Amino acid sequence: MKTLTAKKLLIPAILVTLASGCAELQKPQLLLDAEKSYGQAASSASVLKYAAPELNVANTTLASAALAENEEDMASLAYIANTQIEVAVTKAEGQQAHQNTKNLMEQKEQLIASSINAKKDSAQKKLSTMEENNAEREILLAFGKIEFRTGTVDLVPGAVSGIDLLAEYMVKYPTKKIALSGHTDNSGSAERNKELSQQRADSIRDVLVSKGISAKRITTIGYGQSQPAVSNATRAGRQQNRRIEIEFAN
Amino acid sequence: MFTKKSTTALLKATALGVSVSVLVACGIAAPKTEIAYAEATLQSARNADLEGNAGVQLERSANKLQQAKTEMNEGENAKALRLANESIADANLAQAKAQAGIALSSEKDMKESLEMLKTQLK
Repeated sequence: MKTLTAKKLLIPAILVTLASGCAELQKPQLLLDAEKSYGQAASSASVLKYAAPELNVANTTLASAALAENEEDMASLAYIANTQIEVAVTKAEGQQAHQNTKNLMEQKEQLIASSINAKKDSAQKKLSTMEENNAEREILLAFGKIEFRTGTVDLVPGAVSGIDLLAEYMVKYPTKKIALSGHTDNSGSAERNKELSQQRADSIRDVLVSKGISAKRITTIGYGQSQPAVSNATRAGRQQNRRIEIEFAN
Repeated sequence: MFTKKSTTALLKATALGVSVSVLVACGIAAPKTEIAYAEATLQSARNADLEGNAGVQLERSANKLQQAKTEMNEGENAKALRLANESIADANLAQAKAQAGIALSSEKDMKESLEMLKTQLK
């Protein structure tokens, strides 16, 4: 009978040992759960953006868990991998919150800046309107004193200052337009008075144009004696009716 | 049928196998470094948890650390090592929870502040 040698017995023993050593362990539920969580985390844009290194660490641990030589190590590594995935997800949430806070802060700053600018604009507009109104009031006052020599288009001395003021105003507010209307008292014929009032309004326009103001911004009309401001019965009344009126327009 | 020579060889091989197994089981050194690292990580996480957002994770980490120390004292170094590593992972998660909690809290405050400002500016 053929005897068995130790060598022949050792070969299967070694093979069995190797086979049992290399046999893949059944994955515990914890590892399966961790792999699933990893898949979810890896598909999150936020996690990939803010916690890619943490996710890589978890991936390495998952791979180690899958190759673990015993169930205890596998379970422990699966637990650690799961925790590391949670770290990645949590870190991403925190970083996203940081970013959101930063964005909100910027919104707040913009809101404050635009509010300040709006107030500043409003104040400037008010100031500008006040200045404009004051200027117009001054011009109207000055024009109230404008007089012409009777029957002519010649201004009496001192009347020029009102026109200078008007010219300055029109330079400062280049979008403004004006309408000049000439009026007379009831001395002389109505036809002549109408012609004279038109000539007086035109003469003021010509002075303004000579100071660089565009004629397109000025309209003139002569009403003659048709629109008296007061009664023509007295000398003072007639003087008051010989006038140039201004209307301001944008 | 075994010969004397083959039986001796078989016994020697078995003895070698047993020795290897024993070495595998007992060959892990006491995980003092890992436990020290776990302690430091846990302390760092505790310090970071200013708003108490990570109580559960901190407690879990502390329990694992304590178990790891116990296992190490009993010579169960492999168990101790696993527990120490789990404790580190829990402490890292605690730190992440603590920081994220603070960030989320800041975001909430900022949202409220912005809404309040919008109301005031209306």
